[in-house]
Amino acid sequence: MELKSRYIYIVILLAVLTSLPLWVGGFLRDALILFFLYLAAAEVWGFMAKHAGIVSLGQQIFIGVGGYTTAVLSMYFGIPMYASVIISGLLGAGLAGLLSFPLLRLRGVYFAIGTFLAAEVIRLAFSGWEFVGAGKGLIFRDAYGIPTTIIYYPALALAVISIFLVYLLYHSKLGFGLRSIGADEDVACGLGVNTFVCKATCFILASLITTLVGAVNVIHHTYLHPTSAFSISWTVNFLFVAVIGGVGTIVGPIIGSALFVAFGYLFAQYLGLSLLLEGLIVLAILIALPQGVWSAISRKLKLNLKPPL
Amino acid sequence: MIGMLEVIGLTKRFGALTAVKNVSFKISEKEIVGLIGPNGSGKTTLFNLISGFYKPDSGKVMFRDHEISGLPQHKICKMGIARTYQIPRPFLEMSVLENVMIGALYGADESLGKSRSHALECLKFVGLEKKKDVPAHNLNVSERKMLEIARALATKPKLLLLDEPLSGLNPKEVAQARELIRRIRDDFGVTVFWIEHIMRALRGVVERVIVLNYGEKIAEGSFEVVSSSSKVIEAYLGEKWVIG
Repeated sequence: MELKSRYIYIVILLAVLTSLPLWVGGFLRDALILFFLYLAAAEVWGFMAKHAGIVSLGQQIFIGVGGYTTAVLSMYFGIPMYASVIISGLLGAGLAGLLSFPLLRLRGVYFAIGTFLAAEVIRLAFSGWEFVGAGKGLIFRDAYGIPTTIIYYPALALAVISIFLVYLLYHSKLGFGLRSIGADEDVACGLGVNTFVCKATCFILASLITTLVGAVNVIHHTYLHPTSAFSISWTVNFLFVAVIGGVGTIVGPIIGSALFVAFGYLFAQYLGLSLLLEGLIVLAILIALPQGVWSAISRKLKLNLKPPL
Repeated sequence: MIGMLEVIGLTKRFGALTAVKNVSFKISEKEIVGLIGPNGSGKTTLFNLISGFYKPDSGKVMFRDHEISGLPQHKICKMGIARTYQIPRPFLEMSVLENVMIGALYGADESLGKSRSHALECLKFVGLEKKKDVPAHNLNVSERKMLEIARALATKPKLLLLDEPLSGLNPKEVAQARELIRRIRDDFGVTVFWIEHIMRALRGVVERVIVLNYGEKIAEGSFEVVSSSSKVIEAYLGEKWVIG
């Protein structure tokens, strides 16, 4: 494919995606919003995990912080909602920067445990914090009545931004540093890579996106509760989306997120069983295609795509 | 001659074991110095102390008149000390060129474009340019050894620490590598500190040899002097082999 025609395809695709809410039904709009939000968060989660070797099990911190900050700023401080979303993103990024100091000194599985514990601590803090509704949760009344035709756009924008971010990051100087850290952190440091600064930058960028996902999600969902907002199931779902699609690829999470949302709707009627069914399907996919669905497809079709596609 | 590296009373303990015990020496600019000693004598630990991977328990490391002991590895690398590993540690999933680019990008603080051409030069120097696009896990032992050297050179070091660069090479490759090490000094003006297990491999290339045994420096001097020293022979072969 020539470079020019490739750009034309991207433009057509974006045009279709932007006009989509005008001609699809409400049900599909809901599904698409979820699809974009999970896609945005899973892209950055997968990049961090696969290329930089930073496996976080605490990204729910940022989902929760994004949601609570947006709701509180809009309702209690009268800040316009779009501004609340942006401020929540900055706050999430700042929090990620602060958390980097204790957490990024840990490596591998210890980092994963550390991030999970940090999320639990923050969940407990929110459960006892009266100002944000404590254990009763918080209803985001200001977001009532915002139609999905509008919420669709920030969700789409986040997915697109996340994909471009991962692409640019991979090909940047920072991306090289992160990949060397993912491969062998001590050797990378010996070659002059400031491993802490590289890892922290990556963690902050990924958490910024994840916070914004949490912010848009609360506008869509209009309800917050500490147990669900800071639940590890968020990160497990991002992991699911990234891994079944093909972790560390850009196309993988697109397929993964579509499958995830489709499963969610398909199994919704079997209430208690839905998680079990999803779990079984993931196991089946991973046993059959350990590199994920997309890697299997691209190998079968001999696409020879350059990473990180 | 200008001082490049000065190690003063360096000591490193691991529990009850003293891996490096009160070691002092100096290396001048553009010297090639060999570091030998039996297995477990503390050679690699000494490299880990100089490159900043370990912090010393006492003593200090001076590099071009600045104390570097206690600094993080990446800072020491940027100041001009690069190292290779005895068992090569390439970034397996990355291409050979990308491996070397890491050194150029970060150690020498170059841009992406500049680092690419610089890394290619380094690969040409060690004779690996044909493999530049191959993933590093496809390289054999001797190619990995050369990749280690190229990657370290890409950081533009003033002092290069080579940890057994000849192990695993066949006799022809050993001869080429010895020539390469000489050229690293002659062409690039890099000072070389070279750990070697096989003493005779150093002959004719090094100006000086430092000998460690049980973490202590037991001899230092020209190759001829050191290799005939009774203390050194005793350390390597045992007391009964010392003649006279």
